[in-house]
Amino acid sequence: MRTYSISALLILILAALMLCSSVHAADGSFSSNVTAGKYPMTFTDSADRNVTIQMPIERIIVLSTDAAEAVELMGAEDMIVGVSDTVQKYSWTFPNLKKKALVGKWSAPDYETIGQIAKGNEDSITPNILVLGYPSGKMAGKSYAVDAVEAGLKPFKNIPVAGFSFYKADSLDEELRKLGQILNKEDKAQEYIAWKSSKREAIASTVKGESLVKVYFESAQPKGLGELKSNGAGADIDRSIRLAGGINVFGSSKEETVTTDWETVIKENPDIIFQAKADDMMGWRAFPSSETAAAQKARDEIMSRAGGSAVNAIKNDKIWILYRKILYGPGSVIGATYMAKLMHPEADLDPEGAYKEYLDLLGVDYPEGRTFVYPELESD
Amino acid sequence: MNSESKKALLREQYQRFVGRKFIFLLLLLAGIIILAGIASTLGSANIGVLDVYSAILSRLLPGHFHSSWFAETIVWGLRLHRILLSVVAGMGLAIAGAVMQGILKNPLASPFTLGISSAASFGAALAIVLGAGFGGGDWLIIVNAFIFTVLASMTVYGLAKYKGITPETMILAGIAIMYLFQAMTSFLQYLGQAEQVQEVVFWMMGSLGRSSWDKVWIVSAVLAICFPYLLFKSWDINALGAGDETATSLGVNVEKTRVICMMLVSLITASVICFTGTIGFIGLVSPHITRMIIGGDHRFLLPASALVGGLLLLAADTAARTVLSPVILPVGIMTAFLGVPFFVYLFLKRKKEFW
Repeated sequence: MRTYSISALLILILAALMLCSSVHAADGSFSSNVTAGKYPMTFTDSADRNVTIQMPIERIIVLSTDAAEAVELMGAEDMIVGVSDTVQKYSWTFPNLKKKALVGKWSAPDYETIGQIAKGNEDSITPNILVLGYPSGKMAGKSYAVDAVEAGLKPFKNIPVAGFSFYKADSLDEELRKLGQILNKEDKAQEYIAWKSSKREAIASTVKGESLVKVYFESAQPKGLGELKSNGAGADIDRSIRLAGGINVFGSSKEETVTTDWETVIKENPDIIFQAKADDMMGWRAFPSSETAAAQKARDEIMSRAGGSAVNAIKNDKIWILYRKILYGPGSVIGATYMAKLMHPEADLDPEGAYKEYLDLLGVDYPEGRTFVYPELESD
Repeated sequence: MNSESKKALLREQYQRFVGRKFIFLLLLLAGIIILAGIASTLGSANIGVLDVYSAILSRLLPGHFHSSWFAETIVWGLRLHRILLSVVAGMGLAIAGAVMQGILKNPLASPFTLGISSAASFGAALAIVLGAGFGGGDWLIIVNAFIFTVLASMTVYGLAKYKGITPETMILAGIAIMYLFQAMTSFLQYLGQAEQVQEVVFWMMGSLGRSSWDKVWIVSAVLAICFPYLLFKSWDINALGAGDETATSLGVNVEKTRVICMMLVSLITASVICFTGTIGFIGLVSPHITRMIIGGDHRFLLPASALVGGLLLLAADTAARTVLSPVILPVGIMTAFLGVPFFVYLFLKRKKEFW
């Protein structure tokens, strides 16, 4: 009999748990201090979600380096109150964000911390805060996409979340325009779009009429010659290559990433080889430094690959290691300018000057004594 | 001594014997409540211990306790459902493990012996790599894992029935199913992109990170339905331990008992792991620990294993959340670490009585 009573107690506990689950959260109300006209503002983010903001945004939490860069482009850096680990790590491009509060990993934000930051010293959350994350993505069994962030922040009720990629070439302009509207910085968005357009124009007009150069682009340092990573026509880097007056040897593939082997590359016989190399600082310290030594090693590895003497690029010593950051994101036109200058050395282009202009838009100082392509371009 | 006093002495000894088990159950219950209380104060938001408790009590006894909106939101919206899910999931896995060990007469049986974890992993992999299956969005993985788990147990049942439902046939059928689903999961992993493979691997490690009040509700409901019946059958499971022929002669319908228990175990396990992924060792270790303390009588073993399982999984999840903070480890890694010293202990202390 007594065992049954203990079991009955257990069942009662389970029933209590079920009841607890149905206890709903109390409302966290706020005083609606809505400025007439524009608010509440509703927009669609890049994950096709309708996001509503109740009042002007004064605080931003960025969960990705791309979002941080976009906010910097809008000149709204001061509004950032929380950053993810990657933003803190890349402190060279975000010198003013080093001291901001850490909200967790970019792939696993800490919702308690975000709630803590959002509430500040009050016991409620004024909805003038916006969280910017990626529109989609899954990694390591968890989703870091905007839906997961929204679900995690749901208990707080007053924290709008928007998902923008801020790096995909075909949606970037539109996303920056939207961000400009949200932050009331439409003019800054327009300034960037106009600048990018003029840079693209400059490249296109200079390389017009030049013969196309066959490019083999290696997106990462390979682990083995049987497994090289490149990109096809589905990738933004392919667009940059074509803009710069080149043909991507794997441009016939519609995929974004292409896994290939060295034999295929020999068959394609590119005229120039680019390898993207990551680094967590802005560019590499000028030669001689440990970073340029690493770039030299990468270059030597390519030069020494078996069968290299049959490849034009290796025969003519046209191999460059490119700093990854200038190839992707809102500053990718810089990478295109560098590639154009490397492919067509007589072209009237100034990649370094262009990069200075871009960093001006970001409000970051140009780092002197840094290398962005290795071997370095001879300065005019 | 006359027969009256002998009877009284016997009764007293029996009361003491049973009383010990009772006290153990109550201690476990207290342990879970205390650990839950500690776990709910752990987290990165700046809330004091007293605030946490006021937040909990202010919802349960409104009017007598007040707390800030923020503390209430953090505790009820973010922390409590994870803690409660770990308790009910641990309870479910432990009950399933205890029943499995009873009906298969095998101390190494676990809820996953009948190929259940491989089937669930296959369902999850199917959803992750191919996007195929039942249900949509977030529920795709969950429903897939559940359906394939149930499918696997039906297949084991079908296979075993062909040759008669004995522990040997069930285990053999279970192993066959396990290898089948393992092979298919590996094939899916081969087809998938790196990110998808990583996701499948992480799912198989088990995690309580995606908990929600709905999931606590569902798992509690399944347990509340299945557990009373399993408890009702605990005498029969005791009899099965003495051997099939002995049990039959005691009036137990051996085959029917095995089949029903297996189905209920699969149901409980499926409903837990479809939400949490495959969390190993709880179902294997909890009954052993319980047996070491209060013996193998299933009338006490089942509820006590449940409480031990709940306590263990809560402890493992709390450790997984805090030991490498702010990184959150998957709870399955913690439970695997837990299993190691336990088996080393069993190995070193080999006595005939541990089973």
